[in-house]
Amino acid sequence: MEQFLEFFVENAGAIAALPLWAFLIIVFGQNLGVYDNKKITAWITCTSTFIGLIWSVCILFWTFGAEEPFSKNITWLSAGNIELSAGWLIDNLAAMMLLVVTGVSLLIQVYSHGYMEKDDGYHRFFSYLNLFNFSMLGLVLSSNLFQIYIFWELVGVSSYLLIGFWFRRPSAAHAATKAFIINRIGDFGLLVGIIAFLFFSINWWAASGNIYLGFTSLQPAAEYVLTAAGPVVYCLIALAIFCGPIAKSAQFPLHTWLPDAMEGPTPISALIHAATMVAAGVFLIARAYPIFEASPCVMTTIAWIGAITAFITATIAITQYDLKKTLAYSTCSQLGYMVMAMGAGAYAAGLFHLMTHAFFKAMLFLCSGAVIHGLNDQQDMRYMGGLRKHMPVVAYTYLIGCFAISGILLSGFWSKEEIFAGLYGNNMTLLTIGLIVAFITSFYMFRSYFLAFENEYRGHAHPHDAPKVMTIPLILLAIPSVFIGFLLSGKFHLPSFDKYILSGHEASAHAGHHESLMLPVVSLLIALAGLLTAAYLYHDRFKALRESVKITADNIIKTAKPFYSLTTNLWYIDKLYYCFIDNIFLPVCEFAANFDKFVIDGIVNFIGVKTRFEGWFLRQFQTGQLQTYLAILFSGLVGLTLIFVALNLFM
Amino acid sequence: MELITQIKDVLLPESVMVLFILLTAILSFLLGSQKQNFIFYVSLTGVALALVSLSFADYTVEKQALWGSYVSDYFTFVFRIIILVGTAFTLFLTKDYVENFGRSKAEFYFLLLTASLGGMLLCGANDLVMVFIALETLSIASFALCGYTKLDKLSNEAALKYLTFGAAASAAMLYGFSFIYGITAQTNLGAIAGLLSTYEINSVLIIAFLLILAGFGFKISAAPFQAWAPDVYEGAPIPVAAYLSVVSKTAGFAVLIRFMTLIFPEAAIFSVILATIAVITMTAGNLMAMGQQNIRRLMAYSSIAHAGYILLGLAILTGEGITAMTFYLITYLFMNFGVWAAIELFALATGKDNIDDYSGLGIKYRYFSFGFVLCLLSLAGIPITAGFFSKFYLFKAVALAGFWYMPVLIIALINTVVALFYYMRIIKVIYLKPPAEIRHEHVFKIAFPVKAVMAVCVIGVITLGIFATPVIEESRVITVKQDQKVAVSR
Amino acid sequence: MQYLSLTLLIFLPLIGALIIWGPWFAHNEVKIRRFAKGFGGVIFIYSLFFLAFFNPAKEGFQFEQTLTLPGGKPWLEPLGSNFALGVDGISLLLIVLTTFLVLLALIASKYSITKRHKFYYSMIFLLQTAILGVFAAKDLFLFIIFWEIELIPMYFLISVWGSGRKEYSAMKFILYTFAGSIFMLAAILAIVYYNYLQTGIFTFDLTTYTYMKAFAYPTLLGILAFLGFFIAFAVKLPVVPFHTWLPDAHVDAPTPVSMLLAGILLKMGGYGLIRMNLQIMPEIMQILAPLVIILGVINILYAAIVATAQQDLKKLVAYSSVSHMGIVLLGLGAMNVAGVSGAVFQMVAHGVISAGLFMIVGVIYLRTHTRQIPELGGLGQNSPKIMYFAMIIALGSLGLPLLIGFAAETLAFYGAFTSNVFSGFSLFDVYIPVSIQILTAIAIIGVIFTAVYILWMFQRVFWGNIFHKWRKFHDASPHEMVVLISLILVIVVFGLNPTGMTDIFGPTVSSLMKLI
Repeated sequence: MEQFLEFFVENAGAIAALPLWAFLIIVFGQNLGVYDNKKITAWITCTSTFIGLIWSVCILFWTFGAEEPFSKNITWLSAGNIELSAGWLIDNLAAMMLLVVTGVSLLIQVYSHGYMEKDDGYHRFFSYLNLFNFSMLGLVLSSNLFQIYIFWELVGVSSYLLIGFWFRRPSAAHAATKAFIINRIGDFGLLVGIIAFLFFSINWWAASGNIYLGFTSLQPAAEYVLTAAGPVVYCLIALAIFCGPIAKSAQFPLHTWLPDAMEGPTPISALIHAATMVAAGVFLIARAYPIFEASPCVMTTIAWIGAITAFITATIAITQYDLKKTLAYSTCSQLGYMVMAMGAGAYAAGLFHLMTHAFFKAMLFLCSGAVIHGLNDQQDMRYMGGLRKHMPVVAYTYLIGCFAISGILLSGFWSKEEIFAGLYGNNMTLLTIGLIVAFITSFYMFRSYFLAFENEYRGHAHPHDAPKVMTIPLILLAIPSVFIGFLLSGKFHLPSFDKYILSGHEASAHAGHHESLMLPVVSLLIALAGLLTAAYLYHDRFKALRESVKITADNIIKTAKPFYSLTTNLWYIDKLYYCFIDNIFLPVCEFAANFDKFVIDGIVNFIGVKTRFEGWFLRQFQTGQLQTYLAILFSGLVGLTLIFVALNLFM
Repeated sequence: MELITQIKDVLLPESVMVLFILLTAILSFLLGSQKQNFIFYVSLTGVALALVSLSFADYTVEKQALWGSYVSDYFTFVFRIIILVGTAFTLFLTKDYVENFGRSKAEFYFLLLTASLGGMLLCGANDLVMVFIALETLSIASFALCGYTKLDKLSNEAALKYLTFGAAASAAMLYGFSFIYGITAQTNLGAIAGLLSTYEINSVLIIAFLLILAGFGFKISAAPFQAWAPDVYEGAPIPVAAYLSVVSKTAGFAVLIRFMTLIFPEAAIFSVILATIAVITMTAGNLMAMGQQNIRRLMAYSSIAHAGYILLGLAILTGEGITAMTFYLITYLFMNFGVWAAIELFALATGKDNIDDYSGLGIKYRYFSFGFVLCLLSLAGIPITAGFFSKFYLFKAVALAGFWYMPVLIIALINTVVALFYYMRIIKVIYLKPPAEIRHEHVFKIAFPVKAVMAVCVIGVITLGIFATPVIEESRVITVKQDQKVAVSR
Repeated sequence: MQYLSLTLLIFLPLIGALIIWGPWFAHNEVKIRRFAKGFGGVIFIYSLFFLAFFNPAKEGFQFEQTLTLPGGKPWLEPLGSNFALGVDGISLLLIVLTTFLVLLALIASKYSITKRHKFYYSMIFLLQTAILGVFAAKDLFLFIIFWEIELIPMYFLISVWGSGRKEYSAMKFILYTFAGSIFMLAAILAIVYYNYLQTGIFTFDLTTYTYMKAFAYPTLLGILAFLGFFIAFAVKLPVVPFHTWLPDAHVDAPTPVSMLLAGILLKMGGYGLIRMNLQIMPEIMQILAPLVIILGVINILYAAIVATAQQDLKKLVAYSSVSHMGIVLLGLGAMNVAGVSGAVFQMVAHGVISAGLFMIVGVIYLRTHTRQIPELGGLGQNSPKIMYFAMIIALGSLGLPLLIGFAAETLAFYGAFTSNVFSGFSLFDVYIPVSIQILTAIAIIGVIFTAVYILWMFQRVFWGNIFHKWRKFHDASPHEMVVLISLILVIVVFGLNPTGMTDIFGPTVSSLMKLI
């Protein structure tokens, strides 16, 4: 049995290679006209992912018995004193992520088959999907920081391709470009950080014999860098590396690409922009945790960035009417939670939330996709309502998702509770923010539920239920959304996610758990308060009450006008960026272009013109008049004589 | 008896030339105007015989003739070859041209041979009087050649200008000679050199040098004695222009080199003077050529600029420099005659000589244009043509003369950029503009002698480019001997 | 092995040119093109043999060959020069790149060249001879010769078959490059003269000047000579502010010529910097490395900013070339193995990528007869193949991992970051701590700008709604497919396996760095 599992671990690269093969088969099979059947594409894709899932499960079992992480590498690039490798590293974190990625992927691929069936770009979609899977699994399997950077960019590209899937829509094209460029800003920081880190630790790596930037030996390397670079520079390096997660995990202030990324097909929003890729930022923080951990100031910054993100995006989500946008901002907000947890030292809690969030957020997005599909691409919640009657499965799974994300007993409750527990005693301000955000989360999620699924139908299209191929993944995703939090909570003698994930990290300090009933109860109450508020404001059952008390949503909007406009305008962050681009960046570019054209090139042309002018000027003496010529002759002679006689005397 | 020995050993080519000059003169009386074509062949035979006769003498040792006023050594040998080959080219160019314009053809050949005789004598002149006589022989014959097409207004004007300008320059030179004579009371260059070697450099010597330079500068069209060139090149018959730009110039350089190496010692001031003049000459020539529309005027400016480059070899006062000059003049002979042959061919066909008239030539006449362009590129100094190697060899000599010549070298190099511009302008017109109507197409077919000259020149340009080594080696022998001479005379 | 003659490789294209140009060859467009492609293929395959028999582990030049005159004398003895050829890892790579890109350019010529075929193909082959000569020359004089021969065919290629202000651009190109090269000539003469003074040997042999570590130049002479070389290569590379010939030349040249111009000719500048500046005067390079680095940073950022504002596709790609060449400069300025490896890698990477980008622009131009980005849009709808090819090449251009540009950029950036050439400088007695690390970090901002202009361009050209007038835009033809797929193959293969590339030139770079 051990050897059987060893095989899977030793060849873990196959998990990533399978989607790559699927990608190549689909691309070449399509373009060379080998086949033209959508089902074949779907089968190839799902099979490859399914094998990956089985593989991941085997790896998971292997990790239960393993004491040491497994790593296998080849040299990818070497020059001078650096040697960059590529390979895979299997430890508990990787096993967990593999399972999440392959599992969610598989379900979403099945779902996509139904969702995209009538689209022209079906094969294209699946090839992109496989490309993404390859990149994401490669990222998860990465054995070193540099390799993670490689796949980091590749997932960015897959995301770019998928956001721009419907590239004929200018908005989709725009969103794709925007997403890539903003991610590039983060990548820039990450690259600088990696290079700087490598710069300070290069001697250490060379001496230690480990693969360069390998995760297993990151901690001593980080300590070496800290002593070599000094705390201030080290802080800068760590912050530069953190730029990567800021962009990829849509943290403030680079979160603006994620809501726009909803231009992509909904399964993509579920897979990439909710469950997996955006979580890669958190994954990177977890992987490079020793680097961040060594510098308290960085940890604080990370925590605060997470908190700010969680709060700002949650407030924006309140006022959104687009179903997917609401979920997008909610994703940002939840990612903020995770980052905050990481920054506050609640390492395991952050990852736990990552996992639970992956399931329920993917499910929520798929629900929204089913709704949009059923309403013929209607995304505005003001034209929905009462959909529970038309699509019950979707409605109930959505409701489960709402409970989960709000932290009402379902899986989200357990992971969120752990985050709060981690914050408690560490940083009460952050805890307060976290609790406020929990309230807001609960409020806007149920607001969206009530707007979309309860009350009367307000739209025009005839709603129709989703096909089985779409609802079955929903149901399958609902199961972990409900149970996984509880099952892995470590309470009641159940297996503990924390212990599992921390097994390799005995050294890393994690916040002592606050084992009391108070925190979970408070958070549960807060979440319920949010639910009730949403119900009061948006459910028709409370219409009469609302009318009588005269506290309605419209009234509140009127009262809190500044706040309302702040959130509807997305806190002016996007506007600020566009303002910067339109008023500073592009004018500077224009100026530079004109400078290049008129000044630099102008000088070049001027030299040419000047030379011609000199020639013309000299030719004016070639009058054809003999007397002029003789004058030139004699004046030249006299001039030369004077000059050189004087020169000679002088010398 | 002594004279016969001298003629046998030293003056054999010159004697052959004299003989044939007389022969052409006599024949022009004897033959009617219809049969004067015959004189072309006579002249050609003369030049050929002179070339052959050059090989009889032993030039490894220096020999004197005419009571020391003429010296024959390897230096004169090479320069006389250049002059004779140039004359032969000119004769070929002349054939069709004279048939078109001229009435008394014999006259032309007579003058041409006389001018060449003057040039050959100039190469070996070793006496102030001999220098003057040879120079005037060359000049006066050239004046007459310029005005050969009597009915052409431009030609007449050119002759007059050339004459007047030449007279002025000669006068200045003669004045300079008188200074030298005043200092040394000698006319033999060797004797003068011996006396001057102990003489302190002073203002008088500088003035004398500059005045003499006026005479030679006029021949080689160096600034500020270059003003005549554009008008004369434009007005004179094309073969004459070619002749002036190569043969006459070579003779001028020959005597200038002899003067520098013999009389004027290696003093910094003379080097500075020559370098200054060289820089002014090339810069002025290149700048003025830039906007020029008439190709003959452009070639005049170009030849001025080339005089500047060549002069640089003298300015550095090294044997390597003189080797470079010699090699340069050899390549210049080919590339410049190639261009002039092309110009003449085109002028014969169309009667035009503006650059714009050449438009589309590359499309209609591929091989002709190829040769033409190759010669132009050679003038511009683009590899793998002869011009590149000669220029490079010259610049190499300049660089090796010392770091203080670096600024001069850089100016010269920048000049090549300017030069490239105007040569490329011609090439642009030839290859890029739509073809113009060319009426007298048959001339391209008939004018065989001109085409032959062009072909020889193109082959020369390529061959000298690829196999420059033997020719440079041949030029180098002079250097050794000339260096010895410098050493002896000091 | 002994059949691999560099001389033959260099003069094969010339022979091809003569065959096509001569009167014996039919004036038949199809025949000429077919012959040219076949001949280009033969040359490419022949060059591949060099790659196969090349021993990367060996130091110094390989396949050395010296032509002598009958009688055993060197070819140009009075000039101290010799017809000596030889390749090391760097030059061999560039030689293969040259033969490869020329072959692709010949294939790509089918639609863009519509007149004077004989002349065109012979000029392409002449150009190839010159470029191969530059890369294979082991003699300074020979280097100059080939360097300047290259001007003439390029002039014709731009001015005859170009568009727009082609004559102006061609003239600008030739004068600019020629003006640059005269400084190189002066510098070569200066160092040769200095060597002559020291040793009494007058020679242009490159190895004499290379592997003599003890041979130090007086600093002033060294700096002047270095700058002389640098100006020549800066024009070619090009380095801001000597770059303005490049947008003009690129924009007005026909597509295949643009491919060659960006793909190979710019590399001559980078190659020269390695061969001359770095190899001959490492000490001076060390002194002036800050200048090189700063110019590299300016190149990367300035050109990227200018590119962002361009409306003309070709101009945009041209400026992106300038920007990418800044990375070469940065890597060279680093003066360590990683940096120089990155620079060499980047030269090859950019050679392939920029050729691809120009091909894409040419493909679009052929169909729409416009290069103005605002007039294009939505082209991906009718031509998915072109769009995907363009996308891969564009992503390669912005340095996406697992495509060829990434490893190059990373190595160059890492090299510059870890370089110890300088750490701040004093200005008017004020110490300014602008370390090379900060400069490199600033340079890396270039990756953002690159993404901005490349993706923005891509979005505006291929995505969004298609304009009605481009409804009939048709997808890639087989010729174009062949060219683009070959390029993409290289981009992907060496992107996935960069060691395949670094193995070839790595040891050469290492031995080069031992000089310092």
